[in-house]
Amino acid sequence: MTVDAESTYPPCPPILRGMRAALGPALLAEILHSRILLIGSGGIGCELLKNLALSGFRHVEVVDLDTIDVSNLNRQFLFRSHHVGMPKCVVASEAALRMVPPPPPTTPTTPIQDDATTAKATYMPHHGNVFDNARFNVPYFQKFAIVLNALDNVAARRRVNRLCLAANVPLIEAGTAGYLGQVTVIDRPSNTECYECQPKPTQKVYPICTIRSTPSQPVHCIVWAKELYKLCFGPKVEDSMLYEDEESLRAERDGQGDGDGDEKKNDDGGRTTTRSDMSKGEEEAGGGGGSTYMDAIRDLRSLIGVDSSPYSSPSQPSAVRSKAREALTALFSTEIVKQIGMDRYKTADRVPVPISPGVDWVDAIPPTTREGYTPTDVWSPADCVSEIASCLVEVAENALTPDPTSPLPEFDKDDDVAMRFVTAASNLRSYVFGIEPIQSLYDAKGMAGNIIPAIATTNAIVAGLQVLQMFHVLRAQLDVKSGGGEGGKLKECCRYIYCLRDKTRKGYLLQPTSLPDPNPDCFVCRNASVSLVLNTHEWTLDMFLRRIIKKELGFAEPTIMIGEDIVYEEGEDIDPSEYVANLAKKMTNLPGGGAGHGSVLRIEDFTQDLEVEVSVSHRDRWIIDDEGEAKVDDREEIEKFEIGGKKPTVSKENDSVDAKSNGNVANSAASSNEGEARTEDTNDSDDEIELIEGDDGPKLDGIDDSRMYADSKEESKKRTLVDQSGNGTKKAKMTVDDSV
Amino acid sequence: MVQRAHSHDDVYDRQIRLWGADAQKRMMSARVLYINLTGVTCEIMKNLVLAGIAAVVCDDRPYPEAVREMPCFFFHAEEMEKAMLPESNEGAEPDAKKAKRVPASVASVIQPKVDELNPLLSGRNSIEERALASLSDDYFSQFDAIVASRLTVPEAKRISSSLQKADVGKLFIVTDTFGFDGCAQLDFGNSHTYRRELGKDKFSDLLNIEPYISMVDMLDVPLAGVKSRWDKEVPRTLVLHRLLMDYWGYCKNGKNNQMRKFASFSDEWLSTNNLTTVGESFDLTHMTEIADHPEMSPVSAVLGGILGNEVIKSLTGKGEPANNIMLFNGLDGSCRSFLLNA
Repeated sequence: MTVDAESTYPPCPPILRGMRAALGPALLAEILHSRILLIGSGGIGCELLKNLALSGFRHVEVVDLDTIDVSNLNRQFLFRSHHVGMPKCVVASEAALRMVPPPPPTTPTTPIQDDATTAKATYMPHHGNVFDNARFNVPYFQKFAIVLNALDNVAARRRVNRLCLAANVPLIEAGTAGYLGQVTVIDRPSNTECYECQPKPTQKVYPICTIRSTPSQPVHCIVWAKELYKLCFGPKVEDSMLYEDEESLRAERDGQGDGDGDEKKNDDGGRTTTRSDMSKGEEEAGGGGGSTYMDAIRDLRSLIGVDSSPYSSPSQPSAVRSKAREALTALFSTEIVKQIGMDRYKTADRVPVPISPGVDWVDAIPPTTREGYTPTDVWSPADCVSEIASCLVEVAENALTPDPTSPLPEFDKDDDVAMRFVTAASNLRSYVFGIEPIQSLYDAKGMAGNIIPAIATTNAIVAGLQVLQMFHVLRAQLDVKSGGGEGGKLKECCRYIYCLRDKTRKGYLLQPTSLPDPNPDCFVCRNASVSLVLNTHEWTLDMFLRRIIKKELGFAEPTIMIGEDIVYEEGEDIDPSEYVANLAKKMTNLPGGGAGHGSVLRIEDFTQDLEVEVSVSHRDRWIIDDEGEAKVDDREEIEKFEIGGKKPTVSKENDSVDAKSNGNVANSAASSNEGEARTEDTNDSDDEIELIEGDDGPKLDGIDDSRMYADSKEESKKRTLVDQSGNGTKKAKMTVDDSV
Repeated sequence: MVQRAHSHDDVYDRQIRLWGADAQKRMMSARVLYINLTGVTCEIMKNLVLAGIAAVVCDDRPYPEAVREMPCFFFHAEEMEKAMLPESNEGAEPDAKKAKRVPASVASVIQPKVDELNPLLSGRNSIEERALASLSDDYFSQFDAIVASRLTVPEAKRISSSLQKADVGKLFIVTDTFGFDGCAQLDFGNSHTYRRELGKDKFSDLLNIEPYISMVDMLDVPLAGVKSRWDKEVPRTLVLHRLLMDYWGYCKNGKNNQMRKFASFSDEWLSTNNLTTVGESFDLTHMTEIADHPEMSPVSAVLGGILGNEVIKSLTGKGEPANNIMLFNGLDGSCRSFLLNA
C-alpha cells in the first residue's frame, strides 16, 4: 500500500507483506529458508500445505501412503473428484506448490540473495510409508527444522514421535475428531511431554463368548457378522471366530468346565476374583458334538465359488437361495436352540428367540433394490434374509469373472456387498437376541468401519494453529542461531491448545495450556522400564516379539537381551536364521537363564534410538470382565498380558473425570477387562483430549488382529465433553478410538 | 475404478455423521453472501462451500490490485503478479498501464474457482458485481447468512438495519484479521432460535439468543465503558478491530490514502473514544505496518474455521451461538467469545 514502507525493507512478494509486518523481516527470511517435513496429506495435511505455501515456506517434503477417496472431498480441498484413486501427497504437493509466491525480485540494493530463498520452491511428495526405515530414518529427519504431524493413526504418530526425539527435531502434533481437536509441540530439549507420555485408547477386545453366545449390544452383533463374513468369504474358513470342528467344540466344552467355582489369588496386588455362575451349568450340557452350521457353510462356499476354481460351472440362483436359507436356518434357529439347550441363558435377562427364514423370504426382492430405498432404512428380519440371499447370489455370479472383485477376502466397509451382508446378518442376530436399536446400513457402516466424523472447519483450525506454533519454534531457533542463548525454551512460547465444541466458562473455544512435562514413567522419552505380566510358560519369544515388542511397544528393529546374552536381533546386516530356534522357545526356556518371573529383558532399537528394560512377572490364571461379570479369560494366549508397571491404568470407559483411576480398583477392572493395561496420568490438573484425524476403518497390520475390534460406542462420546472445572481451565475427558 | 458421479451422500458422509442428515439438508438449501473477500472470508467460504453451502460473492473491487496481499489459495501470487505486468517494478508508474487492462472484479475472477471447489453446488453459486452502496435494502434479507470484511461502520449498520427490518433471524458477521489477531462481530438476528447440544442426538428446547444486541447497537456501544465478569476493561482486540474499521474506511474515502499516517489517525481516534489508556499498550510502530498489511494465512485459517462453525450453527439451529464478539489471539492460540453489552 505504501511506497515508503517498501523502501525500508528488501523486496517482498506482496502476498507476504502481512507476514513481514507481523513477524519482522528476520523471521520471514527464516521461513523462506527452512526445510519442513510434513507427515500426512489428508484433512489436516491439505490445510497445512495451503498455510505453508501462503506463508512463504519454500522447502517442504510430504510423506503419505494414502490414495484419495470420495469421502475425502468434503474437506481435503486440494483434491477433486477426478483425483480419486491418486496418491494424496502427489496431488496435494502440486496444488500447494502453485500457491507459493514467486521469489522476491532482485533489485540494485539487494542484488544477491542466498540460494535457499531464490531457488525454485520445492514441495516434494514421498508416496510411501513412514515406517520404511530405509527412507525415513533419523538422519533423514535431521535435515528438517520442524516436523509436522497430520496423521490419522496412533502407530505412525508413535513412529514419528520417536524419530523426532532421536533426531532432536521439534514435532508439532495435531489431531481432530468431529468438532474437537488439539495441537501440541513436542521438543526433547525443552523438556516437554512426548506423544507417548500419555496412554492412547486402543481397540476394545471382546471376549469370544460374548460374540459367539451372549451378545448384548449392537456392536457385538456387528463383530459377529464380520466373523460370519470371514466364514463365508474368507480365504481360510478356519480363520473365523465362528469356525467350528470337533476339536474346537470339545475344547470349548472342556474350557467352560475347567476350574469351575474356583477362587484364586492373583499375583498382582492380591485381588481376588470369583468365577461367575454363568459357566457352571455347561459341563453337563454339550449336545451332540457336531457343529450345527459348518456343513451348510461349506456347501455354500463351494456353491458361490469361494472354495472352487473360478471357471467352474455357474450355480443357479435358485440353488444358492435354497442353500442360503439352509445356512441361515442353521445359524439363526438350530444353533440358537442348541445354545438354549445348553442352559446358556439360564441367568440371562432374556432368552433368545430363534428365527427360521421362510421360503418366500429368500426369494423376495431385497430392500436395497426396492424403489425408494435409502441407506437409513431399517430392515425387518425378512428383509435381512432376502438381502443376504441376494448378496450370495451376486457373489456366485461374480465368481465366474476372471478377476472377481467381490467379495473381497477381507471385510471392507466401502465394499457394497460386504456392507449389505454384514448389516443384514448383524440385524438378524439383534432380532434373535432382542438387542436394540436395529441398525440401518448407514449406521452399521459407521460402526463396522469405525468411522470417525471429520469436517473442514476443525482441520482448518488445528492446521492454522500448527503453523502459528511453527512461527514460535522458528523464532526460538533464530534466537539460538544469532547467539541469543540456548535452545530448549519452547515452553515459554508454545502452547498445548484444545479446540472445543462448547465454550468454557470464560468463553474459550480454543483453550491454550502450557506444554506438559514428560511423564517420568515414559519408556520412550524417559527410558523408564516397563513391567509386563504374562504366562511365561505359555508365551514364546515369537509371541513376545510380535505382540509386545513390535505391536505394543512399537519397536521396528529390536535387539532383545537377557543379561549379556542376545536372544534375538534383526536389522540390515543380521542373519535372521541365527535366532529362529529361539523364536519357538517358551520365555522360560530362553538362553541367558530364561525370562521367567522376576527377570529383566533389555530391548534396543537403534533405528529409533530407543532402549527399554522389561521386567517380567508370571501369571497363569487370567480373568476377564464381561459387562461387569468376571469370567475366565477365553481369548487367545497372545491377548492375555498386562503391561505398564506401577502406573495406574485407564478405567474401562474412560469417559469422565471421575473415572480417573487412583488405585487398585480401577487398575484391576481395567487390566482384567482389556487384557492390556494402559496407563494414565494421575495428575488431575491436566486436561486431556486425544483425538485423531480419521477417515478410514481400522488399519491393523501384521499380528493376529482377529480378536481386535473397535468399540464404536465411543463414537457417541465424542461430543460429550466435561466442561468447566471452575477456573477456566478446560476439563475435557474423552475417549476416541484411536485405531483408525 | 469406474469413474462415476459422486453423490451427496458419499461426499458429505463424514460430516453427516457429525451433524445429521436434516442439518445437511438445511445447509444444502442455504446461500451465504460474502462481502469483500479477505483471507478470513475466503477461508469461511472454502469451509462452507466444501460442506455444501452455496456462495454468493459480492466484491466489485479491481482484480488483482485489491487482493494482491491477500493470503488466499483461490488467487495464486504468481498469476496476480503476472496480471500486474508489464510494470517493471511494483508501485512504479502505475496509472497509464493499468488503464489498458480490461478491469475485472474480484467477484468475477473468483467465481469459476468457487464453482470448481465443489461441483455438487453447480449452478447454485453466483456473484454480485454491483457496488455495495448501490444495492437496495431488501437485497440483503434474501440470504441465509452474510459474512463481510473490510466494512466501514456505516456500511455495517446499514446492512444490519435492513436485516432487522425484514426480521429474518439470519446471521450477519463482520470480521477482519490484523497481525496475529482476529476479531468478529456477530449478529444472529433477533428472531433467531437454536437448540443446545446435550449429547449425541439430544437437544434442548428452542432457545433465543439472550441477551440479543443488534449489530447497530453493538457498533453504538461506547467501548470505553465496556467490561465483563472476566475483563476489567474492553478487550484490546475489539478496540483494534474498530479502530482499523474506521482507519480503513478513512483510507478508502480519502482521495489520497496516505494523507495521514496510521499513528496520528490512531492517536486522535483513541482520544475521541476515551480509549487512550487502552491504546497505551499498543506498539504503534508495529501497528502501523500491520494496519497497512494486516493479513497472515494461519490467522485467517483459524478464525475462518471458528466462524465457519458459527455459520453452520446458525443455518442448522444446532449448537450455542457465539454471542456476540469472537476474539482470536494468534500468539497464544486462544479464541473466546465475549459479550458486548451496553
